[in-house]
Amino acid sequence: MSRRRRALFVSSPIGLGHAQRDVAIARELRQLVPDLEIDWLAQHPVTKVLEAEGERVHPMSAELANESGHMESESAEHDLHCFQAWRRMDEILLANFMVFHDVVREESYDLWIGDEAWELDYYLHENPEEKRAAYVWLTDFVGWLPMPDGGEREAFLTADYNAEMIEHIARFPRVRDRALYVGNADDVVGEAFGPDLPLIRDWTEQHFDFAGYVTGFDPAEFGDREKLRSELGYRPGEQVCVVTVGGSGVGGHLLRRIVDAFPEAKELVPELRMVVVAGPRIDPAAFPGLDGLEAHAYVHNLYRHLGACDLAVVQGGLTTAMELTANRRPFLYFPLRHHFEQNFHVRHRLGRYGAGREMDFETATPTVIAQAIAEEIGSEVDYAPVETDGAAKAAARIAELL
Amino acid sequence: MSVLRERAEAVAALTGGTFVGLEGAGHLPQARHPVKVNLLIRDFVASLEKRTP
Repeated sequence: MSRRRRALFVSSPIGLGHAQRDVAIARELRQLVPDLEIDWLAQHPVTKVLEAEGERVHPMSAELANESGHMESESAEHDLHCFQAWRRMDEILLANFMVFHDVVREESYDLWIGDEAWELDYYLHENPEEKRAAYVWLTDFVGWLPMPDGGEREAFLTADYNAEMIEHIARFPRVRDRALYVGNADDVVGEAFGPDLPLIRDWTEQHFDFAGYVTGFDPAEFGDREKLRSELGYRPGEQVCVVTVGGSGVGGHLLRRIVDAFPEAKELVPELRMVVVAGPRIDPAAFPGLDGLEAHAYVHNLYRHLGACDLAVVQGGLTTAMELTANRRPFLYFPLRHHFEQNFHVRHRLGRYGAGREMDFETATPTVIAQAIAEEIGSEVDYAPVETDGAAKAAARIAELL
Repeated sequence: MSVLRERAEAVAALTGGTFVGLEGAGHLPQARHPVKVNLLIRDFVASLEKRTP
């Protein structure tokens, strides 16, 4: 039989985080299954990473309804109630599942991989007869959690969504051929899914395999940090502070606040060079031209800059924070208000690694930020180590299905 | 068989349509079973395309 093996990778577009790890997993998967052809069903800003990596973005990707635009439209000043925003996205998720369905109706794939592809996972469980290939689910958090100011109503809703997910898996265990948690059992939060529901950690241990964290790079490949710095154009003695807020436009307010802190920070740290990565959805021209301050729309292989910097200032998103943890760089992080994943799941994980200094957008005036920059820049860290074989472990579990 | 279902099937037969029952769909099948409804509409449209005028 001469039919080539084919996989369709559906990578979540909410933030840029999944793209890098998915590319790393795909690369490892091709090592294990050399004839494997991988197509990607993905949208901006993930496609930007995929194109830069030479991956094949399926042309039907152009038909996907925009998810990160919806998230942006739901955001306020450094505030994204992501559970509610997700609930209000059902028409987008359904439309995108139908695009997926059209693709797999026309073309044969041996394997579908969904990295936090919520529409795929949800509608496959609702319509298990539509499953026609091996299917792998990947995620780095399990369980919707209510924000305290959401009161009883939100607690009821998150528990209800969790209960539906638990019921889906119990009723149709054959839908997910593999469920891979990107991380380790200790990274899973201690809370329950809701009143009278299991503990998230117990349930996750029963229903997931743990790949370990997937950074998508090995810090050792950077070799000498001084060499990396000079490759990236950072001069010896410069104190480089990289500011990045992910691929969506939600981070604009934080970026402006940090840029406002630059003059005071520069007074405290005269060698400061602040490199602001605005992301593809924020215009870098909006920032002032000051000596020692620069802004870029997009930086390819940002992780190398994060590996070279003396300090990073970031949102509370998991991927960037974990890249910094793996690279053992000091960093300040600002969880988005009302973002349960950043406020509970990511905070829990970073706490386990002893990584990062948590900042509160509410109280962090430019003066507070400038002082924190001065205190943390160039400092030595004592983080728990991050494994470098996560992508290979995940790929090995996936390859078993091919 | 319920009276409602009997009537629905009779209407389908009289109009040359097809009766499709969606269990538990309530009053909003397109909300409760959106994928199924979308696929049924697609098949219906496709069946019209095949007809010669």
